[in-house]
Amino acid sequence: MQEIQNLIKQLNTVIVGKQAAILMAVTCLLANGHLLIEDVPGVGKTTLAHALAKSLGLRFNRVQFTADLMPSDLTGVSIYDRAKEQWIYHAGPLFTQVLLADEINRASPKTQSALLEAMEEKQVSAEGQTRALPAPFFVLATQNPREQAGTNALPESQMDRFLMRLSLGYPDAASERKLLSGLDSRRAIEAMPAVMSALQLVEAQQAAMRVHASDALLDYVQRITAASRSGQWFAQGISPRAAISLLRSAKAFAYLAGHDFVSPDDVKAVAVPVMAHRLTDLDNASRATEQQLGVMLASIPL
Amino acid sequence: MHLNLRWDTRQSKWWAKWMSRKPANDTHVLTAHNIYALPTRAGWMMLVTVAVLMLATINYQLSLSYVLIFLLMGAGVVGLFLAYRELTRKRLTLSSAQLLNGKLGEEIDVLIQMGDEVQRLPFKLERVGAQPLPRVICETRYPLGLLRLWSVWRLASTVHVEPPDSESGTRTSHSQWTSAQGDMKTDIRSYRVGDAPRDVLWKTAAKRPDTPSNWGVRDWGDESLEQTLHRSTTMARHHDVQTDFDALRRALSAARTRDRTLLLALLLIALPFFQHLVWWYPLMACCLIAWRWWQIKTDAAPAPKWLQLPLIMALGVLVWLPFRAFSGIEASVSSCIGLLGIKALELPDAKNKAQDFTRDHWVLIYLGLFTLSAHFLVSQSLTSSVQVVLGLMALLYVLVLSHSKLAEKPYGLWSHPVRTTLILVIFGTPFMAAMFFLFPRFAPLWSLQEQKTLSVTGLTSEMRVGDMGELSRDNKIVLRLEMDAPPLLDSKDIYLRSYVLPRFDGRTWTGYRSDNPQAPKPKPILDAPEHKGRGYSVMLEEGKPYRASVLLDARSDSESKSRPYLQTTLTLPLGSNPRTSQWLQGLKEDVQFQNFSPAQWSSYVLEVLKSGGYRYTLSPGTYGLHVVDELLFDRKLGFCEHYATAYVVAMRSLGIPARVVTGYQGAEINPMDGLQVVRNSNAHAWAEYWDGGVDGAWQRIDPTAVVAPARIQNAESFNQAPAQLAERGRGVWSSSLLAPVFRGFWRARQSWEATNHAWETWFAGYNQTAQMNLLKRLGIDDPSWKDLVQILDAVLLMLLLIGVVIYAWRGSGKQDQWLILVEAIRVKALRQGVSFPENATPREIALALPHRTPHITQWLMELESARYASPAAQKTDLATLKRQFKKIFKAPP
Repeated sequence: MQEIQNLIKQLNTVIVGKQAAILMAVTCLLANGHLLIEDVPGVGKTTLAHALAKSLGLRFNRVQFTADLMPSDLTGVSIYDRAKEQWIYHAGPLFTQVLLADEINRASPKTQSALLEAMEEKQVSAEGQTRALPAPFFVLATQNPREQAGTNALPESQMDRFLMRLSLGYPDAASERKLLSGLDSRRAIEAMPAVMSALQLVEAQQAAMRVHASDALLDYVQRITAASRSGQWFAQGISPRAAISLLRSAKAFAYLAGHDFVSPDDVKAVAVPVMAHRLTDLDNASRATEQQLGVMLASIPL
Repeated sequence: MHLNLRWDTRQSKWWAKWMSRKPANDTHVLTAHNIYALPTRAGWMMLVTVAVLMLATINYQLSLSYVLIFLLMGAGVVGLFLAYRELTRKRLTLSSAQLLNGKLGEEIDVLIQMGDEVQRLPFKLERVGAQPLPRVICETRYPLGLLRLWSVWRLASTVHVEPPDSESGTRTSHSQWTSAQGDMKTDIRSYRVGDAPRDVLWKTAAKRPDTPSNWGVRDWGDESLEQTLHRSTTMARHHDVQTDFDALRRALSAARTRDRTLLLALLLIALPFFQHLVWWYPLMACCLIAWRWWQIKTDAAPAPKWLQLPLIMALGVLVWLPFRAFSGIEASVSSCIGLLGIKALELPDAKNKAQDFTRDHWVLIYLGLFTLSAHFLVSQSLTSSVQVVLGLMALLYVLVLSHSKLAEKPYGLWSHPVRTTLILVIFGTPFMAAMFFLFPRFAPLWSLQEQKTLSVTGLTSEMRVGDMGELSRDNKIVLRLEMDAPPLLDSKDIYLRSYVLPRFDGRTWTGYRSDNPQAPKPKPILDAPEHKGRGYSVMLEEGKPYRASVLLDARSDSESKSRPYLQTTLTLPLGSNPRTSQWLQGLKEDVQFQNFSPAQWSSYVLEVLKSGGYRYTLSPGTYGLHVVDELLFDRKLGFCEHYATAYVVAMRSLGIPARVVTGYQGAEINPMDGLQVVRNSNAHAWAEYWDGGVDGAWQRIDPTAVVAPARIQNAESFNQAPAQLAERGRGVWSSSLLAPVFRGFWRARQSWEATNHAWETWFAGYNQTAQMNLLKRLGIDDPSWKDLVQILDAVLLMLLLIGVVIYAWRGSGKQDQWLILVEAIRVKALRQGVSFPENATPREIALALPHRTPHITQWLMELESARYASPAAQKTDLATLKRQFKKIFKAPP
């Protein structure tokens, strides 16, 4: 628990004025899910991902996704070694503990889907062989809003594999002032110590999943799921996988807040990051997805 | 959920003022404080119907008709409970999934959330600007349509209406049509369930100048549903109107199934009348009902309207011809059932009128009730009562079916309407029983013409020799005999006199006076002088029971001692039975018999019958002109009436007055209730002779007893069909093998008869006297109707309490106590001027309370953990929290 608090504190020193987003990112980490950060360029997406990896003391690889990035650039290739007279597999950047997939929606769909197996199964199948990824394995992806030039929208199946989608937004005036007054985040990250070991992280993840979820709460989650599928609020609701994700995230969130049980408040807190990117708006939607989701949550009885 | 929502269109200022006394809210919780209830128009009419039925019941003293009326009332009371349960604790919320705005002239759907269900209320935007929504009326007529329970809800949300776009075209196609045709906008809109197809499109299309002429104005009644739908679809396409014809088709087929069910219920009511009325009335009714049923089933055109008049006239003729009146019981029952059939033919087609339960349907329901009640005018047996209750249940089923809103297919053995009907009847029964036994019975309010006794029993006022052969095989019960004190009479001593027949024309025995056949039947009198003075009761199967005691001189009233009477009993038709009279004249002149007394002569004649080789048989065949000659000298076969006739003719030939008496002999004890049962097969004829002298008396002689002693002594076993069967079956099957079967059969018959009798005494014959007797049994010494009313009040109050307890108990099980507590907090907070959003969690509530103390916060956290923490980690349980609630939220700090 203490390590987690330290982690949050340390992240807050690098990314100024984004406590809520950082809390959610750590929640996602504790729920053992992958995180997608979506926002316009330059608000600190990469910095957050980088700082998170560094603070966790995990093996960290960064891949800048571009239009010509090929799947094998991620998974690795076998090269014939003359001296040994055999094919040697050279693991790609995917074989790491924290993968920062920067600007993921700039890559071609083919490359994007190469990430699919790695994210869900935590293994890579390449050249007829399946290789397990190290644990924990955590994908931090950033992407630019869909409307921007040169982007390929992530397919729904891939969106569903991200536990949460966060957006950072512009910093407030005070935080921006702090940024301008000369804090070099890149150097600060380099200097950051690891506050947590991989083992501690795994233990914290297991502890978070032990948080109690009562029948009444499971009913509540089910009502949310049913409402999202009712056709009244959204054209397409959330999948069972998403419902599980919602519960896991709520557990992690309750754990972070020091509770030993999940309350509807925890579910409501994580609902937008967990659900918003998996929902399809109605044709004649009058509100943004997040707003609509908020109104829907308020209408669901406890 | 059987709740309907609609806009409150009432414009009155007074009403608006009255409604505005309560705060507007986007959530409406239905409670006892905001639900109103009044009978619907059909309900008022039902009250009138019940009043008329009640009047008829009192005037005709139809005890069982009270069962029908009170069961109906009981079902109504239970229905009120059901309807109330349907409404209370319902929470309606204006769905926030939508934004209430639009352009002028558009129609928006206002979504209302009721539990898991969303209802759409179409709202037409007719004014520009922000405006409040009209009030919403939530009402239900569930389950019977007799009561309307409703609640008025003032919405807080406003709707924003913008002026229409500058281009002429607006978004939806039908509003384009309305804006182009300004004045017709109310006529055309998209289809809603319940609309008649012609109302949707028909008038508007007919008014349009470009409507093809072949759609000309004509009634849609004469085309089939498919044609109608096809034409509607074409027209809808032509006018670019959105109409959900699948929904229309579904609604139509549901309405038709309901109509067919109604007709089947009426058929069920009409069918049993075949037992009681001349066959053509029920046949006419059943045919007409079945015809209408067939028309609806096959989507054929309904019968032309002009047919009604000839049918009514035909019914009038059919009733007038046999009865010569429209007023008597049989005439009115016959007219009632005929009218039921004619009205059934008028049942409207769901495709021409709205698919609601129309006035025509209701008239059929009322007529059905009248017919059910009329059933008791012709029969009050247990079977009839069961038929009537079944008929009532069928009518209730149709009503429930028509006033429920059901998503599932509402037919089947255990469907919702069936269950509801059973609930109505089963829970209405205690009410019915209390009212039936304790509601004071009145004497008829005005006198009615004498009721004709229905001639069902075997005996008639005359006896034609050769007529009674059929009767002895008929095992129908005629009466039950109950002695006031034990012992029971021996079966062979039981002679019940009905008719005394002194006149004889050679073939037929008739009464002394030429009675008109309309005269009431004489009551059978127990003729057993040796049991003089013992009291007994006779319970007639058809007619009123009576009490009497055995009289010594039951046979000899003053008239029968008079000279002209005695002269009559000596008369024989001239020239009939020559051989007999010749034989007896000879005997009479014989010296040997000079001083014979009438008693000695009687013994002599009996001796002849005993020793002359005469045999008793039920099928002696037909006799010629001289019955007695043929019997005595040739065929020597016959049964009671033959031998009684022979004896009397013989006595008369000897110059001794004698006469034939008919009635019943013998009885069978039903071990189930200890009563002696007399059946039609006990019908008997015997003789009496005048013993002469000053103090002369009539003496009973049973010639049959001499010929076939078994017939009299074993009247009991003789009657038993099993015994007869056993006799017949002997040789074919081993009787010992079949004996248990026969015994079982016999026992079953006895229990059935005992049940029937209990029914007669406790239900069919239950009257004012029986009511007072009941009170005496309950220990009230001098009962009056005031005691009755008091007890009735007490019982009804108790039933009401039980009903409320059942209601509350059933309701409480389903409610989430935790949510009730949260709701209580909301109410408390509202009184202190704090409101928090719907579905707020305890933490959100804590944040919303401005004056919260650590105490309150702590309590709210415990409230949260009571629902969501693991049981092991819960500090306080819900009951404790409930107790603490009042203390913590006592007053604003």
